[in-house]
Amino acid sequence: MSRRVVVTGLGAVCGLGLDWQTVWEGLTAGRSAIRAWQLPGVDDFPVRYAAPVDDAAFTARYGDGGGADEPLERRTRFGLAAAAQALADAGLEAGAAGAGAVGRIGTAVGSGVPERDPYELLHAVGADGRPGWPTLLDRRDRLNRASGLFCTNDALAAGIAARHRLRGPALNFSTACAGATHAIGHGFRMIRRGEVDAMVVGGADSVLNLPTMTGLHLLGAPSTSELFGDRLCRAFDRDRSGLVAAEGAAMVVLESEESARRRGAPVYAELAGFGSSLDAYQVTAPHPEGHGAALAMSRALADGGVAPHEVDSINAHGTSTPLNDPIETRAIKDVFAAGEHYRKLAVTANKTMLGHLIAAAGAPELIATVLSVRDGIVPPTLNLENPDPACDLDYVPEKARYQEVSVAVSNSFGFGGLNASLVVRGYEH
Amino acid sequence: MTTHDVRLTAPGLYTAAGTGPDDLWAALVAGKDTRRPVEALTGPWPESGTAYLVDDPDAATLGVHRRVLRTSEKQARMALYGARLALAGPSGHGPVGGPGWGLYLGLPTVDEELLRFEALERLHKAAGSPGEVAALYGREVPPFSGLSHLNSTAAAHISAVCGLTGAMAAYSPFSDAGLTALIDGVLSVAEGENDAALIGAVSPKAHPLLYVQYEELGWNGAVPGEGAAFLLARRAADGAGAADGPAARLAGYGRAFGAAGEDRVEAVAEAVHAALAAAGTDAGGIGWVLPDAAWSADAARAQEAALDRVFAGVAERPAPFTAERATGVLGPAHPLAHTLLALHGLATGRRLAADGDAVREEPLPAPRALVLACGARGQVCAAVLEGAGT
Repeated sequence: MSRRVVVTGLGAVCGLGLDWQTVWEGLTAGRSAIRAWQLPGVDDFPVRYAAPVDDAAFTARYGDGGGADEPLERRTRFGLAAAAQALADAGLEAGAAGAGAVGRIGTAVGSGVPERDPYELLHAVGADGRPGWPTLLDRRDRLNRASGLFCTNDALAAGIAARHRLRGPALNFSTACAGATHAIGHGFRMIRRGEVDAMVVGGADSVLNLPTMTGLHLLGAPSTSELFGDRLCRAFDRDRSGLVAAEGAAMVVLESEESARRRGAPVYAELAGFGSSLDAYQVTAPHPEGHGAALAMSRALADGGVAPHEVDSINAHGTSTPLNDPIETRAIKDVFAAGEHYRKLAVTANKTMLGHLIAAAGAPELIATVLSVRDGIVPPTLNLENPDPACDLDYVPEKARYQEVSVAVSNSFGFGGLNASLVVRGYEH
Repeated sequence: MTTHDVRLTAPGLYTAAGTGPDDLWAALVAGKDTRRPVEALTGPWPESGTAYLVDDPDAATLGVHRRVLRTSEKQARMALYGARLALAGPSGHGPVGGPGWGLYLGLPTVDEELLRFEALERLHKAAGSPGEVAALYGREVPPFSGLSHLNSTAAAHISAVCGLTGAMAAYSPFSDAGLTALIDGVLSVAEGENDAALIGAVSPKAHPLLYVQYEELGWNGAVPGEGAAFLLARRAADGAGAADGPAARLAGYGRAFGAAGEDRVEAVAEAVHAALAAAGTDAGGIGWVLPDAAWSADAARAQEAALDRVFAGVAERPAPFTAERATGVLGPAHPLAHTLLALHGLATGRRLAADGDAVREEPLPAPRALVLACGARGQVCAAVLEGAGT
């Protein structure tokens, strides 16, 4: 069995907005969620910019994130809200006319490093001031139940499935910054081969906490520059200096074409192909010639039966790190070398506006890709003022472009060379 | 091509019982006690003074430069060792690596502490000042913790060491992740995405915080173990033969979700029925049942009730068997350790059966094994394996 897979629901929660419509409006308007940021109570953390979710606005709109009655990490709250939004958008929330009209529904999400409480080990310090595991174990009831130690990586997938009574598989992917794209790609495959009829897929992440940000900072991943203020995320620009971390979630409802047509669901676009690869290079750097990135893109195109010359746009991983951007450029030029088609591609880096949602990054970027195809708009790459000579493609600088987008590719490349790409095509029955 | 055209072979197993399915099989039959003391746990859980631990593989054992150790935690090193054991076996698979070779992993999260105990006194003093705490973290957190605490770094290490650039995926954090890796790894070969897929899973490190986590999720006292289990999925048409060792195929699989209670029982039963149907058999065609080492009371109850339901009416129902008594609970690696035992049993026409505190070998009455995995929150996977000759 091989079925076509279409996108019938969208949901997003991030710094740019608390629903997908606001996020898309922000992306096409060239608005950035990146702003001056510090950890609560800290005024000299070396990383000074991020794209956080407006916590008060989120809580006012979604409460604790989906009617949960147990402690949750931030990422799980965002993810539950995005999933509920996507299911409602697809007309599949409980009580909706469409609910029950779709057969078997599963869920797959990408998640990253659990959100740990920086103070958790203080419970190991006894009355004599000395630390020990027996002391911590005796006091284990005092540990923060909303931390990643207890809200394990599968909590979001299981939470979505439990709250919406989804009986299909509930999978969690751990492939670093490619996590959401892997989750989406595997959900797509499960529908295509007939294992399920629909999937709620995407990712959620929040790294804006002391333990995780310290770990990222020590790796040199986030920019510490203050030269450009909130215009710090400068993908493909010669003055780029590192990623800008963000938090949030995005989910899409994927559905077999047959199921969507049967219930008359509006279709945003068709998800046509998925490809993944490994760099087999270093855990600390991508392959210098972009072999892994090129393989992922090539495989996604082949999987979707799409020739490179059919592609109009690429939603790049585009992290604004010194290494990623020229390497991704090189990989794009390799894949689209025939007829120098790479010169015709509109390449966009959404992270210049969204920040880097790490394990979730591929999900809002897929939504942007889907809406590019639907609406014929390519969002801009902001802050691209002085292109790096090694980055010599058309990155749609500064302003969105109205153009027909029949086929688009969305890229996600994770730490350690874990790569994934998706192919989106305009839907025609 | 279907999953029937994919051979599962090249077992690589690292557990407290040794470094191969033969070692594990022998340890189970001999009733060998493979546990070691874990002193940190004897306070809150007096019955948990031991666990099924393995040695932390060093750089020489792994055949890597020492710098690899800086960007990995013990579980990543166990995974790399399991991968090497699988690929170092009989070389019927030919040269390893390249774009046709994929990687599918089941990985726990890394739940270790970020600060050393030596730094806690300073953390205690700084606790009232977030700025001082942040500065302390900046000084005391190991420089590569961003990688070593990222569970997917295990995939990066295996890929780099073994030269794998094929299609990949990694799942976490509990036992369903291991069986999902098996299912999707086999599918990647069956659907032509990979020529071969290295499939594996690793346990979490037996760490005090793991016990705290398990307790929160309804731990029933099952003893944790450490280890890794790997195997290779390869197209049968590629000539994989006797040199690859015992072989089996994934005849059918099923995946489902049921959060609690009857929903969970139904999910397990649904996954098993789907696996049986895909395998073209029914419960009577199963010769060996290897259920998950369910470490929560809910999962154990659901699994038992579902198996009762599925096997009701089967004249000679195979008694469930788990390797837990020699390996402990291996998390994501548990269903893959069971898969490797099944490969061994299917190749030799034997199975293991619990007989009180003892384990006995007996003839396999039907040429198929059922392997189950039940995640901590209601995720379920089932796989039916059948022999593919040697």
